[in-house]
Amino acid sequence: MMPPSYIRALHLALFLLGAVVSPALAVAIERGPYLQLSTDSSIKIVWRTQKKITPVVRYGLNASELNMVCSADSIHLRRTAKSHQSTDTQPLSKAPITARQYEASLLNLQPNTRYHYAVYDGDKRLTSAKETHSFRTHPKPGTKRNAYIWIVGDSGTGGKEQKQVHQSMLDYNKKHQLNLDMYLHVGDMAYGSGTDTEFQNKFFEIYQPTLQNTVCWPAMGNHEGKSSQGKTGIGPYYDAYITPTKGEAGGVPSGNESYYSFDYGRIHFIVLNSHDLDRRPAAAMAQWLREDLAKTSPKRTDWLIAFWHHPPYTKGSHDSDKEHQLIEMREHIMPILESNGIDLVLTGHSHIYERSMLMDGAYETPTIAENKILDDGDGDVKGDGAYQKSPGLEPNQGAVQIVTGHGGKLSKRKGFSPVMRRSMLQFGSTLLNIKDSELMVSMLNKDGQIADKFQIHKKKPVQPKRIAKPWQPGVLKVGKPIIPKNATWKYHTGTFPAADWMKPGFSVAEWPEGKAGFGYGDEDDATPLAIKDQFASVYLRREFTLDNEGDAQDLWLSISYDDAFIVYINGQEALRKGVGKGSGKKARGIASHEAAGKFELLHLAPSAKLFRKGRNIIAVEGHNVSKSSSDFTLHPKLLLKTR
Amino acid sequence: MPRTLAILLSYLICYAHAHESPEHSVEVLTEHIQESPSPTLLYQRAMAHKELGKMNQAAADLALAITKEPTHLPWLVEHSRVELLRNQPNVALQRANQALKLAKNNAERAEIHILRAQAYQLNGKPKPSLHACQLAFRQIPDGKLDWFLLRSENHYILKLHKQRIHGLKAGLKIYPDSILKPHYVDALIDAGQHDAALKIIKKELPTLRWRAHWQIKQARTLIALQRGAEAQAPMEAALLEIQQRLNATQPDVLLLADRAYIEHLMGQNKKAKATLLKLRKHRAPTWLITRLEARLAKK
Repeated sequence: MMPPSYIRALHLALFLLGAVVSPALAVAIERGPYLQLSTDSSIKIVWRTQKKITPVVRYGLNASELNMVCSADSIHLRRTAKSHQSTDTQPLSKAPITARQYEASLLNLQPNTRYHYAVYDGDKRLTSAKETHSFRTHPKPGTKRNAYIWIVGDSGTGGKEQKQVHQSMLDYNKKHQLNLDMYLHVGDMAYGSGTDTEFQNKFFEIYQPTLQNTVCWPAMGNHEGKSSQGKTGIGPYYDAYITPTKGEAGGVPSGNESYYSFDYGRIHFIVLNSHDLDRRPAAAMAQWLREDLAKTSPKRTDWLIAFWHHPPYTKGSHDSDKEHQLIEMREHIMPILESNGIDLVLTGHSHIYERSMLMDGAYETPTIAENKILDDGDGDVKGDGAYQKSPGLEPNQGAVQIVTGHGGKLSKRKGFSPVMRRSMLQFGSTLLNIKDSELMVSMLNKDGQIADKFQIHKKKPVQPKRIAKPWQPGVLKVGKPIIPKNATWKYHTGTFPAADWMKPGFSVAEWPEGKAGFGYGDEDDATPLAIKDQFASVYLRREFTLDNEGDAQDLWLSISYDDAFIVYINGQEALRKGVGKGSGKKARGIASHEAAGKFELLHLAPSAKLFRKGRNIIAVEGHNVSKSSSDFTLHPKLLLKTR
Repeated sequence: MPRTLAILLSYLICYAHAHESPEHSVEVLTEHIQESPSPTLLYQRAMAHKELGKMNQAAADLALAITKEPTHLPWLVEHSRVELLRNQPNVALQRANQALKLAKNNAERAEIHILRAQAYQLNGKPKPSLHACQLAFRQIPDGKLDWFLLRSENHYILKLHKQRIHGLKAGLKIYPDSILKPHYVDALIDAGQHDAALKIIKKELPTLRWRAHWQIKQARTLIALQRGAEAQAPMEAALLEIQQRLNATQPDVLLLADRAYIEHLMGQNKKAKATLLKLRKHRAPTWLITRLEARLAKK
């Protein structure tokens, strides 16, 4: 027989185990909770369970004191058609038959106030107390408040890059102590057909930490359009989102879930359906857009921002000079927006990051830039200066177009649009910060680096002038070599160098000199290295000069390599390919890569801050997959794109 | 190849090229169609053609896909839509009628009736178009916002002013403060209910940043009430506002059309005709030019 002390211990263990796992057992939440349709006095909290519950949301100003209750009578239950009983709501169109979607309306909230909340089944808490579940209501329309916004497009692969893009935003916010005010998705959030399962796996499960604290305002992409219809508002996309069709969040009622507008303080947002509705000027969507913009007053609004899926200007994986939806958005919708003073247009569809100059009136097909560009600089206060517009919502003073379709998928580009100042094939997302008369945009890549930034200022009246011959993007193969092919480098191999070998102060006077490329085994090396079966890494260093600080944005590494490498600029890591983690003798996870006599072009703009005007040090460490590998190649070049 | 395998292959091909540009999709799908012309691949190629604005090719592929699967409801509906875009209302109507027989619920039937209404309207037949609209409303009484607009357009053409007002009023109950409101005011003006129209216009004007569109309504009403002198101020203000917003090199055609109409109301018919010429130069849609010409022809 078991001694009593053992039984007590066993009981205690079972109790503790129960305490630990009971929330897990009780966690019947299959999706969410996530936030929707926030206004200055209300918000919706949505979640799904498989089993019937007594839904309750408790909320309050303090996480430890959730003293307000939203109970079943303010919570709609949606189920699939056969089980759906409510006449107030549409049934779920495509969800699993067991799915119960609860939509709680929290009303009479204070504007611009952070609330904490928890979801309950009767008295049983379903959301973990360890995680943050909170939201901040919108400020009253017309009142001043800074806004910090995350924008993502074409993310829904469920792949590692999508997760990295999300994580890089979370890390960036943590590092800079920032809280998102909202999340905008420009479409294609659940590949390949926007089914309920794809939404679950490729959107909700990946973004849950963000979705439980931030409202995601969506625009429908073509992939969601494979299973959801804008005309009817039926499909998994419309099951997932609650959008303001009655002007609940500001603006004119659209009467359609796929296009709508909303206010956040002194910013007016417009969301359009570029996919499956009539885009022509007399169609309902364009008529609504006119009315909505006619009622947007500069007395209450400083900034106008629109987003949708199909970009009016792109040469990424799609071509806005050839594709019908893109052309129609440019020819029919852009004139309405620009004659109403639009500031920023956010789109996706093309799997790339492209960002325009300050532009107006470029409606022709094919797109031309001559006399359409109002400022052809880079728009950065640390470069050519911020783009300038008059205060208010003056018509035709220029807007910036951003294609941010790089949230989870990259595809080969078709070329360079003449209106785009930046075009980058990097995974990432867009961060938007608005403070009074300043709008600031950054592109954050998946590695956590700011790869592009610009600002729009509305501080004093300006008279826009059209530029007859604006800056033009060049062709990639044209570039001024900063470090040419077969350049001379200091090199080291056979032993690991000191840990600070890449730092500017380290002396390489004792290192031998050789011409690139370095390696063995494939008879393409200017400096052959006898390291087969002996050593698996090589270290190169040399100096180079940059004439202008701004040139750093246009530097490209052209490199032939076998198998992997890390590049350092002035002692800091700038780029790595094929090295999983660590460096030098601690380098791990070397991936095999064949040089095959080819050079790969890699844009160094994300590391632009590491470069400086004048003398710079570049250091490259090359790694072989193993000492016994049959070949090794390392041949770096540095190009300044003269465009 | 067994049918199920062919269908599976079609879906795999489509999935593999889901992220490609439509030109690329057309290329790849054409290769596969040459080997095995499955209706799913034809439908996919039709959609890629449609994305490229190549409606003739899209229609041809859809027609072929439907020949192979004549009872595929979504393809029939899509074909009808493409034929409307191709300005082929008879074929669009034929496809919609075929689709109607296959519709399983009220929502599907209503959507198809709206397609039929659009086809009739495009064919210059407002009476059957109106009837088709009514059939759609019979299926879904609350309708959709754009159904109210389509029905109102038919009422306007048929000069059924009372019905038009009644219909738009019903729509405004479901969609308050929506874009049905300016149409409702136009309907009141067309029906000669000027006082009612002026009342709404007066209430609406102070809420607007851009007023030209409503000032035109105001001027129309005042002129109809023989208060031409009072109409002068809103017309001048509207002209000024439009001038301020018009992009000289690439104007918004609807703004330009508004300008032509004000010029006409102000008796500046030469200017109105010059503006009409500009509209043509800037490739304004035919319906806009036709409507404006009809308005300019009126005294």
